[in-house]
Amino acid sequence: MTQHGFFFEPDRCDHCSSCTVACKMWNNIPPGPVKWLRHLEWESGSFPNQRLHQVWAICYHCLNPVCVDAANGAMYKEEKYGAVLIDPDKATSFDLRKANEACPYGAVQFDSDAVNATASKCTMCIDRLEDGKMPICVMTCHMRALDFGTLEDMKKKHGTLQQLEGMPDPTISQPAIVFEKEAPKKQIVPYDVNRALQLLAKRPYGLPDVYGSAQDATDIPPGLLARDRLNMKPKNWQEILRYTTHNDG
Amino acid sequence: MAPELRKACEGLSEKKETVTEKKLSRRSLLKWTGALAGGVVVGAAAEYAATYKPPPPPPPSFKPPLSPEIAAKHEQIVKKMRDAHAYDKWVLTNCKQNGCRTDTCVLKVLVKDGKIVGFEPDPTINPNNAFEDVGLDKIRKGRVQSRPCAMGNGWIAQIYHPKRITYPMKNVGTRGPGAKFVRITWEEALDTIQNKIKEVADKFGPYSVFSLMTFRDTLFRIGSYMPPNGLGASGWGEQSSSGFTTQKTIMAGGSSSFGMDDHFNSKLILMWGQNPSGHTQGNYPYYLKLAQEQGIPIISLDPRYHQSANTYADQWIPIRPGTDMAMVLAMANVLFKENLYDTDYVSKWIEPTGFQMWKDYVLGASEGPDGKIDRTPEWAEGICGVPADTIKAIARLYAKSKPTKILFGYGPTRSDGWNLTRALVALQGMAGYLTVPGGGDPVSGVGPGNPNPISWPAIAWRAAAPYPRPNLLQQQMYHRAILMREKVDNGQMTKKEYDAWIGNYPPQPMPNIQMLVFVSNYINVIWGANTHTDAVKKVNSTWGIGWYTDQPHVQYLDIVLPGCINFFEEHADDPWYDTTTRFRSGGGNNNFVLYADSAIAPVGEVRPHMWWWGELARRFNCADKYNPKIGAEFWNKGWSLDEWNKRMEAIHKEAYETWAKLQPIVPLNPPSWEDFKKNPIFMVDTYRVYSWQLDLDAKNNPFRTRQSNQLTLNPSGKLEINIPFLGDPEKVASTYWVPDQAGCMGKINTDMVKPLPIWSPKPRRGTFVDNRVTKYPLTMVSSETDYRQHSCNDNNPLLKDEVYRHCVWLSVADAKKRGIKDGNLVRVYSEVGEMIIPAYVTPRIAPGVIDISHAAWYAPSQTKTALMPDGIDRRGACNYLIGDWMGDKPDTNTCVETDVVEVEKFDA
Repeated sequence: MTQHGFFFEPDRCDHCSSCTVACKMWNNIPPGPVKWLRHLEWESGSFPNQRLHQVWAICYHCLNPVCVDAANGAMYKEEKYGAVLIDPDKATSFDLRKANEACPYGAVQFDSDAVNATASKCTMCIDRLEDGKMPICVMTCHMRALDFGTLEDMKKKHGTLQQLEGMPDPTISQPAIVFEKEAPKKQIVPYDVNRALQLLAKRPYGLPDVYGSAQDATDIPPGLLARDRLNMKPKNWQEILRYTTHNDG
Repeated sequence: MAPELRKACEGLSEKKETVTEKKLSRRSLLKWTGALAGGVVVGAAAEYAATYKPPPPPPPSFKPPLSPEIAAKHEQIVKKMRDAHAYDKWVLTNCKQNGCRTDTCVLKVLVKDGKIVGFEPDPTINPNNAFEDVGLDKIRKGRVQSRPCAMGNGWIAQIYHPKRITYPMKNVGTRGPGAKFVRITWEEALDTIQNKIKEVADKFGPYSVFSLMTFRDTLFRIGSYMPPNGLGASGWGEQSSSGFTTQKTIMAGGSSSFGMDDHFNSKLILMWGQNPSGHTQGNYPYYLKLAQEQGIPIISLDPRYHQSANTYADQWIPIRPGTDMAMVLAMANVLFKENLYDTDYVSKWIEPTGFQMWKDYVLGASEGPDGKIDRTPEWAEGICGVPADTIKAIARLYAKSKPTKILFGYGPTRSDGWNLTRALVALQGMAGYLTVPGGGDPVSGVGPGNPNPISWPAIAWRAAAPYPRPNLLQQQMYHRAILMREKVDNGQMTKKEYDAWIGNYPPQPMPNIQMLVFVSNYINVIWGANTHTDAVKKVNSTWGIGWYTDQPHVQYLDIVLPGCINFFEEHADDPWYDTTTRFRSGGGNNNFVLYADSAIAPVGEVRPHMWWWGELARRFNCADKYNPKIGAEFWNKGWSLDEWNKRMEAIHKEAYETWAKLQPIVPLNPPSWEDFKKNPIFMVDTYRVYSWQLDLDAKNNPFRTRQSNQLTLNPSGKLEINIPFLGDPEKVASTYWVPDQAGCMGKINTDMVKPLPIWSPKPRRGTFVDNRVTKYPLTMVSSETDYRQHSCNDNNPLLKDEVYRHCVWLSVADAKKRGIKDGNLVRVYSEVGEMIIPAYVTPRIAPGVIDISHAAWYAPSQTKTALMPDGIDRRGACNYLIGDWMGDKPDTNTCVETDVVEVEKFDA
């Protein structure tokens, strides 16, 4: 077996969702909670120093697939590319819930919250690999934020980082993905945040103020925002939708 | 898991979701919409998960053995997956959909049994190379793939959408929410339209038929061929870009553009109000990212921290909508005070008197409408919200970074395009960047576009129009032309007043619009949507193309013709146009031509637009002139797909072979027609990095004097910051019509436009400094998005509520003040409209500003109010909140997409 794997560079990702839609298009997955490819964007910081973080979550087809161990025969790791797959005849097995609990990344997808929901997951586009083509997601990325090949090649080309901020420890499962590190934002010109917050509170021409104190613009009470953390293992389909849909539309 | 636990869990579960029972078959694609709308399922799974303890992780050496059972099955599993993608035909196409901006990407369309089964990226360049690290040289030459975006991949759900209109219909109810449609034949539809046209023309005269379109060349082109004297009125003005193109024409004699790779020549990029990742898919954002990776600093100035600011701006600086002009003046002030401008460049290219006047204005040596004011960063900071020290630092960095490119979006021109455009061009001129690769004309609107490297094959479909339709109004003022006409007829308004309100040129006759032809969802995407709706309800007759039964404009049509999704079913040179063009090229790099054969036969009774326009022409005995190319005999045979395709292919073959023999093309060795069809894309290197370079290379003065209509542009032969004739309102009103980039003639509102580009000191409508903020304290911007091309794709189930949520962006400060949390439903209302949509509460927008992205489809609820007579909007169509406030002087600077609003928590 040659373990194949992926690469993702968060700083190149402009969350266009092309890969997400391509995955659904190619694999004929209806809209809704079944998201083999989850684009998990989350927000940190407060105005005007906020930031978006991109985590590209598929099945990482781990070298040590703890899900397979938990799935009681409903999943397997095939031996040509190292893809982790579900046995379609056992797709409604409750063992797949266990498998998803075991998976650090929540890769197994269910088409409802019911106990006998049908499970499915990223197949590494093994059908395309067999045709000599790369997975559809990596081929549709207009930012070239994704790459695919043997894991060894990916590591040689892109380094060995396997965990982005907020993601689980990769030590045990050994995911077949590497990441580029998210770089800190640069400051090109000085920007005095306190001064800016004073200015932005006032309107010229004697028009009413926009807000009172700087804290009005910066303090974020709990529950105000929806996506202020990375959530790789949502509890139900509503939570899945909440963490995988963004607001730039 | 123990069987008893499983049983217990099953007992807890509620009824299984309907979607789970579906096989994930291709057919289910058609039934997606609303599959999950059924409500909450509190599954046992969640409870189970709470108590479940995963097994201890296996040791790192663990290799799960393949059971014999699965080993035997695996091959079958993969075969089944592969079979699902079997195809018997593929074609290339690109999404030439207006609203797709710079880059029109290539799609490989896989077809099986006449149905589309999937899309892949262009297979002809760097295939199977996800990271596509082919080196900067190739990237500079445009030798890269263009890949489908979310909409590109999502077309499959639009083509086979359950609400697709697949046959002609007539409205047997009323226009608006009371519409009721019944199926009719094409013959009945076209006969009815023919008779209606005759009736309207007889009753209301030749200027009674008008086609709604954003561009000056309205789509009722057929009217120009109708004997005896032609039919229809046309309009001037181009909604998208004349907010800045006219200004550039007037001060620089023309306009320029630059190529995608020109960003690599810059030393600093100011992304001013532009969000390439939001309005342009394709490669433009990628090229910007590569520029940043090469160490070129990028600063985003915008009220929103959008995805472009996050992905390739090093720094984001929030600025208030409608106040950009203050910041530009302050930057110019720093350049003058610190002597940081390029005196040699200025003396070579800029007309000196005007430059001195601009300098005096900026330094407060001369009077502006608000007095003699030194336009310092300290003066500007209270207006635009950017600290003075930051403005100074940007100005100094700008002067030092030779050259700097300013990427100026459409957004900032929406409230003050005239002044801002000219000020930014002046700034680039002062700094010496205007004609230099890596710098350039700042006001490129949507982004870069290389000139065609070579001309592509073209088809001349039409004979010259024997009867041109006159431009009798500003294109977007058709609603006023309709609503005010009665007043003229009743003697309550003079013709002169009427002409002023609609933008008619005094000696011309008045239009009397009684038939509206719709070729798009236009009323939904134009400001003052409610007023437009009033006008549409009032006319004698409406008809046009509709694509989906839930498309807002369809509700207002008397006759609906089913719309063709052109890049799969038959190509038109824009989705609504009446012309087939299977030769396609991309914007952006613009370095290929492809032959886009139809992937599939139009679904149902959908027909190519050129076919039914031709059928209509035949009914008016002008098919031979309107479309001589296709041959008069064609129209008498009725519809046959085979015949159509044969004709189209023959016409395209002829055009290709003529083109391939042209002198500049021969050395490029274009393939034979037969070979081209097999591998239907022909790519060359991109041509020029910078189009004024063409002038400079040819030793032409880019700012040479040009004559346009009555107007002498650039009489000094230099860039003109001061335009003296704009100081004479009477002269402007009576004499001058100004051409924009496309040669479109428009009028100038001298209330707004002064000879020098200046800060309009009064509070201005729709900006951050609008007097009405006492009642409506939030300034709305309406951004472009990745998920709609204008309004197209709004009902795509692979996009809507799937990858994005359409909502109102509300700042943390504004949300807290109103007790609103993310996800709450809120009522957004203005002087003219109201809607109920979810709130997105975020630190990503400046306080006092909201964003409702452009052109979602108006979805009226049952609740009707005085503001929303057809029902309160439940989707969030921003144009229903924007007033019809062009005033009585329709301008070339036409597009208004901003107004002030208030938001409150909505309790049902």
